[in-house]
Amino acid sequence: MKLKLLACLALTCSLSISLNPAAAADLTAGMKPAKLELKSAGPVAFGPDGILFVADPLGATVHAIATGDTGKSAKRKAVSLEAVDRKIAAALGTAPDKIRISDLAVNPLSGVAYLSVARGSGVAAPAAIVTVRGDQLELLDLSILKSASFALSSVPDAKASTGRGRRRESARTQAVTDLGYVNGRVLVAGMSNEEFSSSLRSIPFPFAGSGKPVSVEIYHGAHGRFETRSPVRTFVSLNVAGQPYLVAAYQCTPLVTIPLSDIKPGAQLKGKTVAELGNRNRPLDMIVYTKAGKEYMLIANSSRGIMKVSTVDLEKSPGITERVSGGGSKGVPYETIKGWKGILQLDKADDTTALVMRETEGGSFNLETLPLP
Amino acid sequence: MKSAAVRFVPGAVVLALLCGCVQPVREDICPVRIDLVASEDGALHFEVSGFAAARVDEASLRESFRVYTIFDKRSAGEGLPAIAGSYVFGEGVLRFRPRFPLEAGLGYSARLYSSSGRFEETRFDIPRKELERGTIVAAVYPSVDVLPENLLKFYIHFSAPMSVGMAYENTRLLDSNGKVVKYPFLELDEELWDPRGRRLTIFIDPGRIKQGVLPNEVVGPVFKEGESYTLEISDHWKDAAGARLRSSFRKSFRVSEADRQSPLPAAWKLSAPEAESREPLKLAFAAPLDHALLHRLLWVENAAGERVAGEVRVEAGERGWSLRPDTSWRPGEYRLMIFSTLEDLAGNGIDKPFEVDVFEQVRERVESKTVSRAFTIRPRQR
Repeated sequence: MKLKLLACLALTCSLSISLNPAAAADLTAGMKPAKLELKSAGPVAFGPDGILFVADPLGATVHAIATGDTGKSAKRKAVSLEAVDRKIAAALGTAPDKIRISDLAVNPLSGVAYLSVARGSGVAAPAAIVTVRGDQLELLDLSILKSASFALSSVPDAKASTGRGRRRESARTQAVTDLGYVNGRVLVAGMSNEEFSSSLRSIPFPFAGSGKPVSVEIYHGAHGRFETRSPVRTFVSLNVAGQPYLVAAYQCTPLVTIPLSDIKPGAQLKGKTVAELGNRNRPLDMIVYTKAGKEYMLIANSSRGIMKVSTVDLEKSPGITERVSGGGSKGVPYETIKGWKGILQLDKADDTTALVMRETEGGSFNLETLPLP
Repeated sequence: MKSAAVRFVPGAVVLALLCGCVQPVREDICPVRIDLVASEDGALHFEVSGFAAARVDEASLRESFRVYTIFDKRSAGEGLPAIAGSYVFGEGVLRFRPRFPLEAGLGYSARLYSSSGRFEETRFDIPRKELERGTIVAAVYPSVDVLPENLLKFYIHFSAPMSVGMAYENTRLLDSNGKVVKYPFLELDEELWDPRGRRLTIFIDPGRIKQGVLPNEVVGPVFKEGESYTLEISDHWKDAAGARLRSSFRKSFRVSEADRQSPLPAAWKLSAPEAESREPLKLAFAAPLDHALLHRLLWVENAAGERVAGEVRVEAGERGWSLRPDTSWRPGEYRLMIFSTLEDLAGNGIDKPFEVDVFEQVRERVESKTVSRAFTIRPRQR
């Protein structure tokens, strides 16, 4: 997962300052030492002030952790670590096949990588956050850090209990497919293990603030004719024509843009399809960066490598409404980056490099810092 | 309990300890002991004891003791980080408690380092657990053997918690010739388990169900009307304890035409029992509905809006639902409440079909979150 900080528009900034005088203050101020115990650790992303957001799908919670890692205490080192899965397993006292790495985020202030990990085989396996500074791996001690948590709103559970002696534990869970911090809000995309839902939650941060969380349904249109719910797999924020947007990849493959200003209570958002990422392919992660004065987006895919897209093209795209002959699409053009193969995780490390987790031929995972293409 | 351990102590050992405030490194404090001990809560921890020096500097001692996981007995700990854990020192004993329980079947190297980097090592092997292959696929829903072409999902129920991360390599779909159907499922890194790890939801790739989306237009739908298929679950899938399933599982079914209509609660047959009995209220649906959602999104309220507590059953083939109340029915007006996201097998909700054809909308969408159907429990006929 990536840092998803938007360049703040002057108007947006002045509004947020006038509405929330605390916004300019240290965002960790309201957090407390909570001896945080993660039930699970899914997607992770950084906000400002070294705050790490961790999705805990099993606990139906999003945690904000004040890592205290603000880049002031140690020299920045590019992350490079071979066989990170073996090393995490060793540090957690188990075998490499008994850990699962869920996600990765780089702290933009320090360049330190944070990985969310499950230690064990089952759903209830304990979760941990592991940090990598340069080639040094450590387990983050959550018991001594300040944190704040937000319970994801309750599910449509129809008054879950069914009577004396037969109380049925709800089997519903909401997987979190991605989360990010954008303009003072934590955005959480998810998917239910029961109904075909497509909710995107927008939670004001700090969590104890006066803003209200908003949940919207995301839709997809095809041929201007069919409308369906469309769960989001991964997203990133950027400015299109000066306006803040989400660029989201749907589970059914289209890449869409959604204006952030449309995320309002009760809204049903239909993304504008700007590309289709291809059959038998899963988008895994996206980052936005600037090179030689131009802005680009990198999309890591499960089977189609790394795609590089100019955000100017996203801006210009009229949106795909019709299929062209041969089954292709008139989506935004993209370049596939050669040499970036086997990439499972991607985040921006700094202005000129990206951190990737790559699967080797031997089946283990390496962390590598690569120059942005 | 002292653990049964493989133990060896190298000959020349130098231990870096600062005794007192400014004393130099002492080399006369050996031998020390390193043991693996069970705590009161059953978790294993390491104990370092037998220091000859009267006073031991705790901070230095913590820095000197490390435990490594052994993957390869010849190069134990080489290039690997030490196990994370916490230290407590008291009564001449340093206790190191690993952050996570030690793993059956693995070895651990406990080391006391000197200032020169040499170390005394004691190795401990945690006995391997015998694994019994007892876990089975208990059920797969939908349970009917005729499924719509635009089927949205399967629920696979297991008899015990399962390993996560093995779902898609162990689940496959075969056509009537036994040929594997390629990429039929929505493969999510976040596998969709219930909180106990005993039920997995597998969605059919929505890109191959939705009309007008590239995968469906290029590769086509997963299922074809009139054809037969088999969902196969491999016995290589491991349960949460690490044991393989006792046996593979197969569910064969035939495919009928696509279903693009929302379920209509008004068309359900409702059989209300008489008052003063605990006979169940019964519903019969026109077509099967989603097994999981039937347990969660249907309920009954009395005239006061109170939920009627009782035992819910989903009937065979997910074509029916019943509620047996905890206490006898009282005469009066009731409402069957239906949450609007209740779906059929193709993901068509009460509130809207899986896909809305905006050119040919069959009926207006339901905007409220629940719909209800009134019924009366009549006084018992004497």
